[in-house]
Parts: sequence; structure tokens; C-alpha cells
Amino acid sequence: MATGAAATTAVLQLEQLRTYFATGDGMVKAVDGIDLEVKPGRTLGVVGESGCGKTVTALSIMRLLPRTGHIMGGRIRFGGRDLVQAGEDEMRELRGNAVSMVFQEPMTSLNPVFTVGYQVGEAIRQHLNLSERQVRERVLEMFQLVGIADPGKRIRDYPHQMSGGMRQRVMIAMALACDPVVLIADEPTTALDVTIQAQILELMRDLQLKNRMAIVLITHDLGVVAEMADEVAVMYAGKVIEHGSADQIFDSPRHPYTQALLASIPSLAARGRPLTAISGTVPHPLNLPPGCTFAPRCPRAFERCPTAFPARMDQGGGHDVACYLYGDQAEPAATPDASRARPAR
Amino acid sequence: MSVVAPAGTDVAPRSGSARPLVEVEDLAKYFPVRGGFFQRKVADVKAVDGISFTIKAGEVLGLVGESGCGKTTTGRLLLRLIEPTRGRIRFDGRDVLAMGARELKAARAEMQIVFQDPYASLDPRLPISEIVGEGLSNHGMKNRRRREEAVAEILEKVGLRRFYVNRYPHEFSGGQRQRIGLARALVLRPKFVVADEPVSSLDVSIQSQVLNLMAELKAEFGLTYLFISHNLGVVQHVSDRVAVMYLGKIVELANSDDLYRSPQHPYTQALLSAVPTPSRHEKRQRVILTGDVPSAIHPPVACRFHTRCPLARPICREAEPALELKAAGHWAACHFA
Repeated sequence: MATGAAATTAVLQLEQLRTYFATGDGMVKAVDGIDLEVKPGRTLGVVGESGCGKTVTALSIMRLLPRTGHIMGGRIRFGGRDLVQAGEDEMRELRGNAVSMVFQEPMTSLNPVFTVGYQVGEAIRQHLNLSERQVRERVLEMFQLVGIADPGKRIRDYPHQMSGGMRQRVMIAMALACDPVVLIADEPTTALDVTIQAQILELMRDLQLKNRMAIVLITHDLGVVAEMADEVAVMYAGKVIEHGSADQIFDSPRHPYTQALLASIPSLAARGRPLTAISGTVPHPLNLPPGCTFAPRCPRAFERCPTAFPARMDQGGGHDVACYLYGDQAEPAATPDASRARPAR
Repeated sequence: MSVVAPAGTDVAPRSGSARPLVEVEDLAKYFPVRGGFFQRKVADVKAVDGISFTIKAGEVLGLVGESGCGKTTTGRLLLRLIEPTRGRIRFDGRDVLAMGARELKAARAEMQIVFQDPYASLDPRLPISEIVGEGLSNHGMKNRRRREEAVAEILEKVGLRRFYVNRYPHEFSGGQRQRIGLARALVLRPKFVVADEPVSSLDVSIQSQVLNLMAELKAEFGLTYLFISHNLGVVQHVSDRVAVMYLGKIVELANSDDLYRSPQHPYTQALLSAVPTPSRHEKRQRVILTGDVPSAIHPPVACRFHTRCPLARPICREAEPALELKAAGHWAACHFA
């Protein structure tokens, strides 16, 4: 990956991360050798369709993979250590503190039997050594920060008493309570209506300006990415297939998949004319096509494509693309790294 | 309290002179809220509260709004899958609400629905042949061979292979299931299809396949659609005219181009400005609404949008604005539009 000088300033770096799931039918390579990084005060958008590995990437960073998922190789560099190797105690100290995550569905990620105030307070009690009174003050402060009106009253609410937008604000308050260095937001607004989505995105931008946290924004919505991200990584079937600044990705997408995704958004096409559609469907993870996994659906595929997965070829200015239309280099074969692999639980 | 559009017999905003296929007048649906001892009715959710519109034959009317605005209820009311609290629905000149059971069943062959969730709307225990063919046997096609032939034919029309007939829903992807949903709706050759969020659960690349298919089928079968969606981009792409709903009311109704180019109602303006666009250079003035959509049990009096409206004045809390003609074919319910 071509990121020379910038690499020194990144707060979070994924190197050749591989996360596989053991299923009854075989090994699913949900994330298969990805390199990504994010810098302080910047937002990295990770886009792709269902099953491309976006969420597994997030869960790997948090080390919150389900029992069947294992990090098989690679590094997750954060604050001078490798989170792949970190112990569970170390991870518990980091989670919700230096690295926080906001999940897609706020209803299922909040505990229905505790008040929201208690749950946000819990994140603070876990990591900061504060008195009960200071915890309460901090919770009120966080509620105010995320725009919950009448916080003194709302902290006594249970999750079901709040609307979806309010619950997502509570989730964000909880994630930000300990001033994280990195916030991982997995489809933070997908379950919300557009007018509420606009509020939440605005809130995330404001908070980022205040505390310079790095955001990894995972979404399938290219509109959200265009508005929020400084840099964009496009994923397909467990790989990053294109990466660049938001301007590069939206103004001059190189990969045929990125181009097709952008062209298939209805609001861009003229009404009445057929939309650009990508034929076929995302390949089954247990039955990936050989070589470039997008080749069977690609309008510009040629003989080279099914031979090996292409390397990420540098297009200048931090823009790179894994496609043989831009060079002939294949991805180096995966180095078996069994000594580093560990079940991430 | 209902909004009856002005101008004599022209009770509902209509787009042309031809007789509309669907005419809706002052349609309302209140769902009772029960509680307390004996589960008595304690209040009503005013899901749809007096809406009027028409849909011309061959037209696509888009219906947009946020969750809970009443768009799905409207779709179900049109097919009389639920009974309205009041109002009138005419389909092809016939009064749908006056129909007896047999007449309604016959009419349902001409009006069909495609549901949002292709995982929940197909019975997992039935093979595709029965899911798609059920409507045919219900409507008198008892000959099994003819039914199978009709099913195979419609499957090909929606882009599925005919040998899929013996498979079960779990063997299909989301996009394919939505094609099956379309096949089930179209096998009876209806005139009118209510499409309730037909592509919302699909990925973008699959979404465009299904939208293109719906456009092809519309041309081939001469269909009329009520296209319900929360996705403003999708609605703009497919609709001839668009109605915007807020808390059970239509607040704006216009030709698709007019609505998107010059929205009149402050809610429509806020809604459109809230949509994130993939175009990085089109920097718009964003209207960010504060607060949530109020409860439909006790909606704000007078103009329902006044609690969140950036333009609200005292009159908005006193008088309900009627859905009025603001420009040619462009209706809006706002005192200041």
C-alpha cells in the first residue's frame, strides 16, 4: 500500500488483516488480507455491499468476533501495540475507552433493563476513576453534547422509552464518554430516517472537530460516505479493491466495481432511463471465483483476471486500485502466519 | 379536520384529463390503542388522516415520507387489505369500499402488492410454483398444467429460469426473492401494483436490477404503480408524480421534476436537503430539522409540522393549511408556500 510519509501519523493501521470463519461447510474468508489506516481528526469511509467484510473488519479491530471467527494473520497497530496479540484484559481496557464502537441497531445494543443514564455511566465507571457524583455529571454533560434535550430527565429513561434517533444519540454518548482516539461507526444511521440521519451525521462531524478523534465509518450508503469521509476504501468479497481520497473515489473511480456502484445510484441517473446495473450477485463466500473475485460480474474482464487476485496498484496521490486494467502485478501469495494467528474472543 | 382539496368536483389533485385508475378521497385509518383495565380503547393512532389523490392509468405515483408517516397504511388501504376508518376509494370507476366479498376478490386480481421484505413475505414451506401459482388457483385456474405453464412464463418475464419452480425461498438471494414477489403479483396480470419499499432491503447493485425490471414490466404489461419508499433518490427515478406524507397527511404533491427542483413545503425542503448525495461538489444549503417526528396518537394541532418547522408562525398553530394548488399541478399544504 502506497502511503509513505502519512503512515507515521496514522493512529490505527491494519496490515494484511485476515479474519476467517470456520463453518460446517468450510472456511469463510470474510476479511482476506486488507491494509487500511486512519489518521487523527480524519474519517475513513469503508463501503461495500452486504457480506463484503466491512462489519467483520470492525469487529476484528474491537476483537469482538463471534466464537467461530478467528484472526488468522496480519496486524492491527494501535498506540504502539498490536491488537491482534493483545490479551483480553488489555482489550477490555481499550474498548469503550481509547477505541469505541457505535453499532447499527441501537435497540439491540442497549440493555433493555437498565436506564440509559446508568448504561452511559457504566462506560465511564469502567475506565475513569471518578466518584458517583462526577460520573453523573459526566453523563449529563455527554447527553447535552449529543443533543438530548432535558438530560436530567432523560437519563432515567429506559431504551424502549426513546425513539431510534435518541437511542443512537445515547450510543454515541456512550462511545464518546471516555474521549476515544478512534471511533468505529458501523452503519450508524442506517436504521434512521433521513432527517434524523442528517442530525446524527452533523453531530459526529461537530464532535470530531472538538476532540480530533479518528472515525472509521462503515456504510453501504455512498451518499453518507461522500458527505463524511476524507478517505474511502471500497471493499468487495473480503478485499479492499480501491482506496483513495473521497474526491479521487467519487470524481475518478478506477475500479469497474466502484464505477458501477456509483453509476447505479438512482438519483444520479436521468429519470425513465434504465439504471446501470451490475449483473449477477456477490459470489458465495465458500465458492469464490478464482483470481479477481469481481471478474465474473465485470464488464471489462479479460484473460488475466481469473488467474490471480490483482495487487493494489498505485495511481498517484494515495489512490490505489486492485485491477489489472491498471497494471499487471498480482497480489503476493498469502504468507501462512500460523504462529501469529489466535482465536479472537 | 380533513383536508378536502378545493375547486368543485376536482376533489383530488389529478394530473390529467383521462379518468384516473385510482381515486382516493378523504381516506383515513385510525388504529385503536388499548390499555388499562379490560383493554379498553384509550386513544387512536391516526396513521392516515384524510388524504386525497388520484393515480392515472399508466402512471407511477411515488409516495415518500419517514417511518410512521402512514405510507404503508395507505398502500394497504387502497387494496382494502385493511378497512379504512372513513373515506372513498374508487378503482377503475368502481367503489372499492362498497364491494362485497366476491366482488372484492375479483377486483384483487387487478390490484396487487409487492412487499418490502422478501425474506418475510414468501412462505418458506412452499415451493416457488405454489407461491406464485396460489393466486391463479384462487382465481379459478384449476387446471394444474395450465397453471404451471403460466407460472413458468411469468418467472421468465421476471428474469428467473423456469426450472426454479420446484425450489424453496431459502434457495434464493434477496434480489431473486424480490423477483419472485414480482412474479406472484403479476401472474394474475393486474392493472395496478402497490410496491411497498420493493428495493429497500437490497444492495445497490441489486436494487438497480430490480428497478430496471419493474420499469420493463410496467411497459410490457401496461402497469400502474403506487411506489412507496423512504428513499427519495429511488422515488425520483421511478415516479411521474410524487406525494410527500407527514404524520398521516399529504403535505405536497407534484410532478417528480417540479417537486425535486422546487419543493414548496418546508418539510419537503428539509427532507430533500437531508439526503446525502454522492456528488461531492454540489454543496447545498442544508436544513436540519430539530427533534423527532411527533406521536401520531396526539399529533400537533393545526399544521402538524409546526413543531419542527423553521418557518412556523402563530397561524400555523391555529389553522390547518389545506392542500392547495400552488402552481400548475403542484399542490402543497402550507400557509407560506
